[in-house]
Amino acid sequence: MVTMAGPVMINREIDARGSHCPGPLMELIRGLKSAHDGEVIAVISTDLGSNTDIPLWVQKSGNELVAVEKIDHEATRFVVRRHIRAR
Amino acid sequence: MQVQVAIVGGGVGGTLIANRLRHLLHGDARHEVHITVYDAEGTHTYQPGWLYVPFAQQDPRKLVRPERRLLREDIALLSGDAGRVQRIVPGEKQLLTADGQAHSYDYLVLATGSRNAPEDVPGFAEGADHFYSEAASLQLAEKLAHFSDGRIVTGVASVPYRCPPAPLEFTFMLEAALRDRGVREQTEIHYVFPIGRPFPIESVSDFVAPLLDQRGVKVHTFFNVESIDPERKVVSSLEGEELPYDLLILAPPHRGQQVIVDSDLGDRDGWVATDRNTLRVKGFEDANLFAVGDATDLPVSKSGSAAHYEGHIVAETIAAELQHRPTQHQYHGRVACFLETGHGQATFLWFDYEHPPKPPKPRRLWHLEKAALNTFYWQLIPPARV
Amino acid sequence: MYGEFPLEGQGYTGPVLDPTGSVKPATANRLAIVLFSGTMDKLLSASIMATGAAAMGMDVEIFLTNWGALAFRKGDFKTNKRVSADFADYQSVLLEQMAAKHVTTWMENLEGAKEIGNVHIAACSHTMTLFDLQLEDLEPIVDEVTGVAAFIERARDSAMTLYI
Repeated sequence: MVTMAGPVMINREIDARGSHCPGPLMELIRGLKSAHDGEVIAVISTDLGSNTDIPLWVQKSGNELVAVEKIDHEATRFVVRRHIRAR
Repeated sequence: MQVQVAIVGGGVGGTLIANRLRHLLHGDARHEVHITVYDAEGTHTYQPGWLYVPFAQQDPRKLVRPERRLLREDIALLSGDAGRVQRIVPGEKQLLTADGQAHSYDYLVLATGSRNAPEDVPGFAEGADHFYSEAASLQLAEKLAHFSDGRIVTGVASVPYRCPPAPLEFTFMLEAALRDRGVREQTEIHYVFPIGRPFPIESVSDFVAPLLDQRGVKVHTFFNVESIDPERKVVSSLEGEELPYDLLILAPPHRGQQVIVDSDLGDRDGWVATDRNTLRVKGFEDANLFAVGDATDLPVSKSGSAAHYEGHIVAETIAAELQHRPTQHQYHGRVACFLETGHGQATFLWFDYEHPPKPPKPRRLWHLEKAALNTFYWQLIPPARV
Repeated sequence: MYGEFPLEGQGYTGPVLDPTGSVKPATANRLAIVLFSGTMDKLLSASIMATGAAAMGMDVEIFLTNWGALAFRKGDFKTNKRVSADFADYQSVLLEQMAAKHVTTWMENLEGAKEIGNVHIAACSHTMTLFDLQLEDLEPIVDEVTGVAAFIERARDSAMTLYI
């Protein structure tokens, strides 16, 4: 995909359309946990709550929200890069 | 014509598929279909019952039955080393068991479930308790029986984990149990959860949040457990929060089974990439390879309920193919389960890919329905009567 | 003797009567209950069946006729303690056990079923006319008043039909 910053390679995409429990954010967290530092995970969500939930979680957890793409009238793709915090 | 159907794992999904498929093919003289369930332990456990063991409300031995008794007589069961599948080779349509045998199959269902992976969170094995196994739930029962004062931290150590409601239900039950024992005043209960609310489903979260507050449970949201220090008795989050504990009870990290990893059929955590509607394993669409339940990477809860609904679809699909009938059966993400909200009440969660949950207000009715399911599980679910 | 019957239910969306009279396979994912009884024991039984079916994703169609319709008169459920005549001597035992075990009432069960599933409750127009009742005289949980033909059309292809 192409973003403002240039082309980004998505290492893994999780289709969480129609996922309610545990839901798209938890699917993103699952994907990020097994991602290496710097890898990019995308999750597709049809849950309206994701529009606020996902960016907020990404920010609080110290990861990077690379892009938010509307795919169609229902689904949005959230692209996140994993950043492992230095201690 | 002889057809071999191999089902790896005799849990909810595997047992249901075997029985349902046998039923659908009953009397069909065109093929001689051999169904074999491979299950190393040869036992079937009703895992939701572990929730009650720490409160001495359930004898864990009553949650286990021999798998042989749950399968129709005309289904083969291999257990012990003969049932311990070590490798699956989809290219050859073969599976290899620990006794050195190679078994050919025409259809294979991966129903291998999930396993606890305490090694994924540093300090978990030494520092945390849980109820995600018989042994752990019994050990926790001991600790709780002697717990008289201090701080208990509950929640989840990682995602995914089996049964999203369970850690929350446990917290409600814990609070009630401590009050019943008269030690609630001397106890602090803290609940940690990785996202911005105590439960993934917003409408459920909206009514449990005030309940947790009323019962004095301190909720720490955006708490992604990073490590546990069993010496200092502190649990630390990715977000930089540190919480001291006297007793730490977290759903453990989970992974797929080793056989999936060893067979190159899983992602980094051992989950099988599965088509969300057909339940065929991705990349093996023409190989008669299916996956159900916890073993998949599907965006549905790791629950017996999902495995149950998925199992029906897989059984119908295989039967339809063998009987040369068109297959319209697809899994639409259906899951149905109960969530205890304490005080003898529960709510009912029902959803699928197209329908978000609309949980009704908590009622004693759903608590009784849950109790009924716990009691009648053996008669209803593994035999695929429902 | 019966005079004019009320009009059939409005907005009927069930299957249309098949003019060839051919039999429809009884495979629809629906539980149909003809609820003739008005005793607490049978109402409880019917409500448990309805709730179980609804929780399993089945549609539920309940047809209240005779004593079943009367049991749904406004407020009646709060005082109805009748049990089947054959077991009248068990009435107090039943009431005690229900209280001791905090069993949910049949009305609570039906309310719960409606909250989670597609549950439709219709009162029989014949019964309503016989007892001079209107829909407004019944608990709001009753959706409409319909005739027996409408119910049979809705129920005939149900996988399960019960007469309670």
